[in-house]
Amino acid sequence: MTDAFIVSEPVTAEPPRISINYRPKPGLGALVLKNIFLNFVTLFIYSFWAKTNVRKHIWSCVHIMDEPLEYTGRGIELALGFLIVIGFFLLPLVALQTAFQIFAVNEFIIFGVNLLILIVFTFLTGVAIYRARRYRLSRTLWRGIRGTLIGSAFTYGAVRFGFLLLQSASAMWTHPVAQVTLFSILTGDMRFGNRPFKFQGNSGPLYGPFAIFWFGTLVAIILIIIGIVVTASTGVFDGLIDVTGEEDIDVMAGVIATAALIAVIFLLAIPYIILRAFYTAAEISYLARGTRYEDVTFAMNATTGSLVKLVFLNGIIMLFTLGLAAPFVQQNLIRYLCERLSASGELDLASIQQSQAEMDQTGEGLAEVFDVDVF
Amino acid sequence: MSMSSNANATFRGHYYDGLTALSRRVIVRLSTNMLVISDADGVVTNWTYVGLTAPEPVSARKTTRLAHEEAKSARLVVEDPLFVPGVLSRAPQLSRAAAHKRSLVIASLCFLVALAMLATGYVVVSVAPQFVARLMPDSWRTSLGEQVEQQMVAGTPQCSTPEGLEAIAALEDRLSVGAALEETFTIKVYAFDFINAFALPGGTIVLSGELLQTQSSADAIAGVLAHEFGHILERDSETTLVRLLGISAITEAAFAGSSQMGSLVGDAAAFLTLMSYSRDAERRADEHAVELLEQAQIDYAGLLSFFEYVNETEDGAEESTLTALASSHPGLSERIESLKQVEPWPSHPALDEEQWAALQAICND
Repeated sequence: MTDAFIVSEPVTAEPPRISINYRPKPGLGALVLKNIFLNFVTLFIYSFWAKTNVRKHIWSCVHIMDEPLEYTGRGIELALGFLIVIGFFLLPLVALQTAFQIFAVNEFIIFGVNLLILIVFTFLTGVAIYRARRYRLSRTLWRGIRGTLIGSAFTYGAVRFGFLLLQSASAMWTHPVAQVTLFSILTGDMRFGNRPFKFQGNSGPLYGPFAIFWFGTLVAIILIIIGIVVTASTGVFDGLIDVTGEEDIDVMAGVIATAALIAVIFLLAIPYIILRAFYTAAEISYLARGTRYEDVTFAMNATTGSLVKLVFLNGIIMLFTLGLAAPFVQQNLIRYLCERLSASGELDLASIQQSQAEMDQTGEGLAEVFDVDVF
Repeated sequence: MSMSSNANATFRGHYYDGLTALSRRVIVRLSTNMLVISDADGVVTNWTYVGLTAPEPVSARKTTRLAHEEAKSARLVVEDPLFVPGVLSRAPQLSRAAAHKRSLVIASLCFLVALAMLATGYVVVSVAPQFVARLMPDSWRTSLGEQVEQQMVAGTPQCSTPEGLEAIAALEDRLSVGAALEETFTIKVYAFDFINAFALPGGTIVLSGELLQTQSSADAIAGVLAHEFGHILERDSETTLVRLLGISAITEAAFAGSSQMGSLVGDAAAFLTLMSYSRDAERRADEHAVELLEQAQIDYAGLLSFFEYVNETEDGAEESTLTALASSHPGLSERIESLKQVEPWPSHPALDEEQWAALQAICND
């Protein structure tokens, strides 16, 4: 009998545990190969659809309370967004630079205008990050409900720009406060359906880990400089510069010197990556702890070791595939977040109603042009 | 569990109405005309088969998720694999094959757009630059030429002994009066230590001191100048600049935001395109040179001897400057051959010996 399993009212008794899982499914490799082929054949015009298909795949592997996310964006939206930005920003810029050439404009004026353009574009990078995030949230569906950002992309861009200035003036020391403030803006503006996310926290607790990162990096740089000076005194770098000015260059010495230089760069990169991972682990754990959605709280179990592993793995993938396997890098990142993010509390699903925010008709053009955001 | 796999079969599923995050258990019935979704209170909604869409192609191996174009956020989830054949037979657009077909249509459209872009690109780099260069006002040309000269010269001293300048003026008179040219030319010599001559936008010709030193007669210099006049008459420098601009605009637009590989391909394409055009330009400039030399009654053997000098030095030695010169003057042997085919005309030396000596010594301030 059909009626036997029909309940008289909607099921509201959802389990209190809020599970977040990444359940990989086959097909990403084939998708990547297909995208590479079609990108080359179509002079990368297909890339907007390629990107969309990758997102559809990765999104559908993310399960929250056993229900997958769905990416509803379309390739044509990304393509139109890109065209609009090309038309409004890049072409006028090319025209302007051409005019400078033709009319031999005074160098100071060119410098001034280019400085202004740099400022505007740096500001627009923040706008781009915000708009790209809004687009992706509005194209992410879970249980038939989509997300959005309700604030102003320009406010975010302006705050981000301000912090960039402060950051360079303060030798990075405003970094934690910048991160917390920007995250707080994004999270405060974020909605899933009609319900808001909230972030509560300040940058204070991040300054301890940040100090360790900052001074640690400084010590590493100093040690490596000492290392280089000591190594150089052995004469191993002489192959790099032909100090004698003689014609026949010792190839072997050149190889050894180049290898030594690469070793030095790696030596600097390794402590930096470890120290950076240490700080980032502290930062994302702290940011997750301060975030709420209704009665749901979050925790992120990010550790230095796991982040270092992630960075190395992704670095190797990018290096050996010349960036062509970037979707696997995206998958690793999302998977990492899903595996280490946990949520607890009760979610009143009945109270979450569809977002009434207007949907952007085009997506991510600015982000595409400024090359921000991995996704 | 399926109730029946035939017409009017029903299946269990759950439904998100797209208004709240609640899921409700439903019964899905595959009626003749539409998919009927009901719960205990009765029919929730009817979805026409033609309007059905699926976030992922429907297959018996996984949970079926459906949407409908009239209720974009609503989702129907049916786990029963027996639901799949029934729904696919009524809504074939949900199948993997249909998804492949759509994907193929998109890829084909992208391919067509790429072809159209290539065609536009071809026009922008082949036909259009010359057209635009000819429309360019003289003031723009002069201004561009001054900038190029400034960058190229980069502090190298200009050679200007009074006798040398007189010799240059004499050469210019011979070449342009003979041809009754409407163009005005400015010839300058700079103390470059490599052999070359350039025609700049706006009618300026730059000769290197080394060029004057190494040639055995004024006729050779007259030949080189006549060749550069040809470039100016054809607006080749202006055309190259416009073309470069077109190529950079195209690559900028085409590869902005894509991988670095893309921009590498772009740069290589830009370079190769420019190279292939400079071959044509050289051939045309040679034709002008022959015409101008004939009208000025200067022996083309001078130009021929210059070409042969470049060719031999390139073959015999490994001077990097000459290799560079030859690379921007491709097909030299072929050009030498076609110059040899030219019928000789009555001629007399481009400059007398005294003028020629003065010209060679123009850098000896």
